[in-house]
Order: sequence, then C-alpha cells, then structure tokens
Amino acid sequence: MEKIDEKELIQMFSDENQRRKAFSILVKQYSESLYWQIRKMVLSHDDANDVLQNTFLKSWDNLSQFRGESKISTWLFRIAVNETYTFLNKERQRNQSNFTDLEDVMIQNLQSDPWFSGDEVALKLQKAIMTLPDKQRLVFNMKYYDDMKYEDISEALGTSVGALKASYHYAVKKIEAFLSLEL
Amino acid sequence: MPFIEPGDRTVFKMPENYFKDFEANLEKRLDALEKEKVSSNGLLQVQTKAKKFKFSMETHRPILYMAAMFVLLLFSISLILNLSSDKTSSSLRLSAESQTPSATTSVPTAEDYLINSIGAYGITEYYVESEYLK
Repeated sequence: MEKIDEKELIQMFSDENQRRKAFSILVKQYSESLYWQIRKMVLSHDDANDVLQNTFLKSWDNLSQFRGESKISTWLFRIAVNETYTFLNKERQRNQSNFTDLEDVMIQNLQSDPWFSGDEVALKLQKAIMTLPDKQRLVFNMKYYDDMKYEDISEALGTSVGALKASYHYAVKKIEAFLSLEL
Repeated sequence: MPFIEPGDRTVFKMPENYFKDFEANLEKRLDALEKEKVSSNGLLQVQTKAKKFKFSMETHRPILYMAAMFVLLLFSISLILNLSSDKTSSSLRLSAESQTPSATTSVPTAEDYLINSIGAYGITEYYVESEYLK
C-alpha cells in the first residue's frame, strides 16, 4: 500500500489536479480501520458497507475545506461516527413505525447473517453491547475490541479521558449485569 | 470476568477482496457523481442566467411599464391632436366655403354692385384726378 505522509497528503488535497489521487490513497489507507469501527456499531456487513461509502463520499465533498487542523484519521473517524449515528437514528425511526426496537431487529439479523461466525456466547455478548447507548457502545468497542488507549479515544471523540474511563466502567458493569441474567 | 478482555473481531466476517472491490466501486461512484455534478453545473448555469434575466425583468418591469405607458400616451395624444386638427381644418374649410359667395347661390348686394362696377383702378384714378383739379 502506498503510504504517504499526512502533510504531503494535505498538500495534494489543496491541488485540484492531485485531489483525486490523494483521495484514492486516503481510501486505501483508512477504509479498513473505518470499516471495523462502523461494522461493530451497525453489525451487518451490508449496512457497514453503505455507511463506509457515505463516509468517504462525504469526506470527498468536504475535502477542499479540510485545512489540516486535526489529523486526517481523526477527521475521517468523526465523519464515520456521524454517518453511523445518522444511519442508526434513521433505522430507529423506521422501526418505530413498526413498533419494534432496532436493537432487537439488529440482533435477529445478526443470527442469520452469513458474515457473522460467532457462537451463542458471542451472540449474547453482542446482545449485551446493544443495550448500551450509542456513544457508550462506541467507547466500549474501541476499548474492548481495539484495545485503544484512552488518550487516543479522547482525541478521536473529543471527550475527556476521565469521562471515557467512567463511560467504559459503566458499560462493563451493564454488560456484566446483563450477562449474569442471560447466562 | 473472562469475556471482558481485549477482544478480537474474528466473529465478524466479510467477503473476500472486499476492500479492493470497495475501492473500485467507490471510484466508479465518484466518477458518476462528478459527471452528474458537471452536467448539473451546466444546468445550474443556465438556470442562474434565466433567473438573472427574470430578476432583471422583475426589477425593470415598472420602468418598462412606465415607458410603455408613456409611448401609449404620446401615441394617443398625437392621435387625438391629428383628429382634432383634421376636424378644425375641415370645419374651417367648410366655414370658408360657406363664407365665399358662390355665383350660383349668392344674391349680389348694392355694395357688391358698386365695387364691381367701379373697380380698384377707377377709384384711385378718381381720387388723383380730383386732387389735381383742386
């Protein structure tokens, strides 16, 4: 994979002739990590694919406005998070009209998803994670699945380290309580 | 707490070569979007021009109306004037005609008779001669 320094990439963004090439490099560099962040939130591969596409399309639209005030990875991650929240809210609204909970629907879909290979315990863990509010779920995923440092999560989400620690702590407690009832 | 350990994401799978395909699909979608943007920009330019024209027509409409009204007013005034001048000339003509005695219709008065019988030259001659005689 062609790895380019962030500064060089930002310079390429400002040049209209090189913008497209820079964007291709951006997609190559960040699509995988963004995909996993989104996938753990929306669970389904197809939905993650849609949200990831929207993330990159939105970033392409706003590329000329990117001034390099934050890291490209942070900027992309925030777009991805916003797109994920937008997707989840839309799905929630759609399910509200059918008097069903999005979380239940997502878990049901996960059971029959060919792109999910987890056993019963893994499925129960997903059920427990789904009981968390969106932001807490995001923090939990970043810490539990990716073992990210609180400092890095703080930079990505713009939340203080203390608040993140508290959020993760409460998330673990909630999941434990849920699983103790289920298992 | 055995499950709360840094986890792996192997429970989630994805199609083979997904990221390569994703990049290719995204490139295609971007190409389509750029083309759409170019064509919509062209359309937008035409629409903007039409809007500008409409706007200028709207802003200048009162002036145009006033100009049209002015032209109409001038035209109607000139028309009225023409008509009235025609009327006066024809009435003058009629009155002149009525004042001129025609040979067939007018009856000669005594004065007419005297003037006609003496004539302009005869009167001057008469006066001159009478002066010399004195």
